[in-house]
Amino acid sequence: MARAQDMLDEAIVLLTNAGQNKLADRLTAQREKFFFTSLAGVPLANKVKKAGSELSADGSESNIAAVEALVVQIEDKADAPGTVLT
Amino acid sequence: MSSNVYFMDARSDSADTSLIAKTTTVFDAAGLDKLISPGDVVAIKLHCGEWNSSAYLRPVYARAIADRVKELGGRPFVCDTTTLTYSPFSTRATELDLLLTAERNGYSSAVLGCPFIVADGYVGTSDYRVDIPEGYLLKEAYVAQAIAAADVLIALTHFKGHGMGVIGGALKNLGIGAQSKRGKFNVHMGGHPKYGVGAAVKFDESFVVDKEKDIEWELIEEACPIGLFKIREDNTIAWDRDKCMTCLGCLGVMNPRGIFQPNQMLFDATDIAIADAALGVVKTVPKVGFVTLAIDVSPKCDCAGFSDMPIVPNLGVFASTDPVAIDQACVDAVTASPGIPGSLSEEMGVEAAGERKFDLAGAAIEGLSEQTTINTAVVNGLGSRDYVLHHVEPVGREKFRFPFDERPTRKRFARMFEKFQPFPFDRHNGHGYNRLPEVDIEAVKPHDGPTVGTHSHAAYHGDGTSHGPNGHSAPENQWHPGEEGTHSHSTTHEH
Repeated sequence: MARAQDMLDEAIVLLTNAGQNKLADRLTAQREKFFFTSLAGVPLANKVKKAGSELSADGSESNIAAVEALVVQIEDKADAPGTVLT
Repeated sequence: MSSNVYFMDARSDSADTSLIAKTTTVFDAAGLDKLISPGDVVAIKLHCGEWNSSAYLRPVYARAIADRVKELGGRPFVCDTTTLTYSPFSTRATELDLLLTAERNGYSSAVLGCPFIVADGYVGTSDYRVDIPEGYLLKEAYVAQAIAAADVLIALTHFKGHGMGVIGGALKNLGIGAQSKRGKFNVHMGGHPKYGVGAAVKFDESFVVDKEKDIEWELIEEACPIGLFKIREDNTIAWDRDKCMTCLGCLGVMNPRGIFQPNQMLFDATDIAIADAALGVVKTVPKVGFVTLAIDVSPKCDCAGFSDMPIVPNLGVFASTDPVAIDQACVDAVTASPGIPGSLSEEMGVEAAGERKFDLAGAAIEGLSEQTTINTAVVNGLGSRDYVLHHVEPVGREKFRFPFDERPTRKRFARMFEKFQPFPFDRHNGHGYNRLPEVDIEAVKPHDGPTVGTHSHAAYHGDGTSHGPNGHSAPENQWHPGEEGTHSHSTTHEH
């Protein structure tokens, strides 16, 4: 499994356990995209995993907002045309 | 057998240790000056940078090489080549676009002191075919015409990472950069029955284009320059993949949506082919030398329309006649260096000195190797991974004086200043300007802010208001210069 997908899966589990199923579902929808099967998604996957970890320890509004902001970033970047490979 | 690589680091404290001076110093130290005979046409091949990239080499490095070539009696030109179509918004795929991009990035004859040429013509079909029976995968290459026609080629390379090539070094500057567009199709495995995009990628035939939700749906149907995609009536996508020439125009549209799943073989095969195509260039041009600057080592190539923070500090400039050795030396230097905090090398967990950086921080997909191209170039006989690194000493400041007027200061400026004296000696008792005789210098040095109050006339916001203490308009009783000297009371500022 790709490195970014691994991290994303951990984030999805953390969010699900924290009762944030909608956020987890939004990440699941991105999981099979090139962004996460390639290395491009590693930094954001790592960030959302860390934010998910903080959220699972403290379900405050600010921690939810932090995860949501990352999910929005992921949705934007994962769908962006123009991925440069060469 | 070991090859020689000449190196100067990126530190500088004098004119002769500037990176520009070091570029020509290592050029000479590596014997590249000996390659050039009077009258030789010298192609200086570089990457002029994509639109909005910012880590590409400043044009002054090419200018310095071009000037040196002219000193040696050669006729230089600087060149780049048209790219594949690269995603939907490429900026260098035709000569017209490449020249617009190059000029925006500073590459013009006025800057370079010699012409800037698109070496493979308007569409990228001006080239020279060369057989390479020694090739590991390719058996022919298509070298850009202007490069193939030159007497000497100097590959002036910016060393960095690359999504597909993993590293962008001297080999890639030849194996991709010196190929025509037709040659680039070859290197990227266009039409290859196993490794080409048409053969290798996993295509999701069930993918449905939702025209309501995907406002860029037209990009999908129009992603191929020869029209191999069609959106059917049921909104699924038909792809005539057998005719795919691997122009990469569609990847940037198809990959993010999951319509394509790229196959690692395509990437690995291209990295191998780069080495073979580079051999084709060396077989075509009679004399070839390499200068590589390992500065602004961004994780992705200058062909991306952005430049991320460098993954390692600036390392220096290398020169050699062996493209394999110089690339290996650069890879080794990057590996030995600590990564820059906050850069992609840290995010990928390879920031420690001694860690290979590009396999994760350069490559687009996992499993690629920064050694593939280098190793293939050993196999096809292009050069050696073994090298001796020679640390070159500066050659003295004299050589790097401003060349247009080397006279001492008085001889340069005395007569001019008699006519147009820029210093107002006639004002303020010969002191020239309205200034206080003395101020409390220590008062503005504390790291936590000044220990004197804000001037009553200070400071001017863009909207015309004065900020005064604590962001409010200044009170009437504030200090004015010349009124009562400096104040020494402290004020707390909030930033």
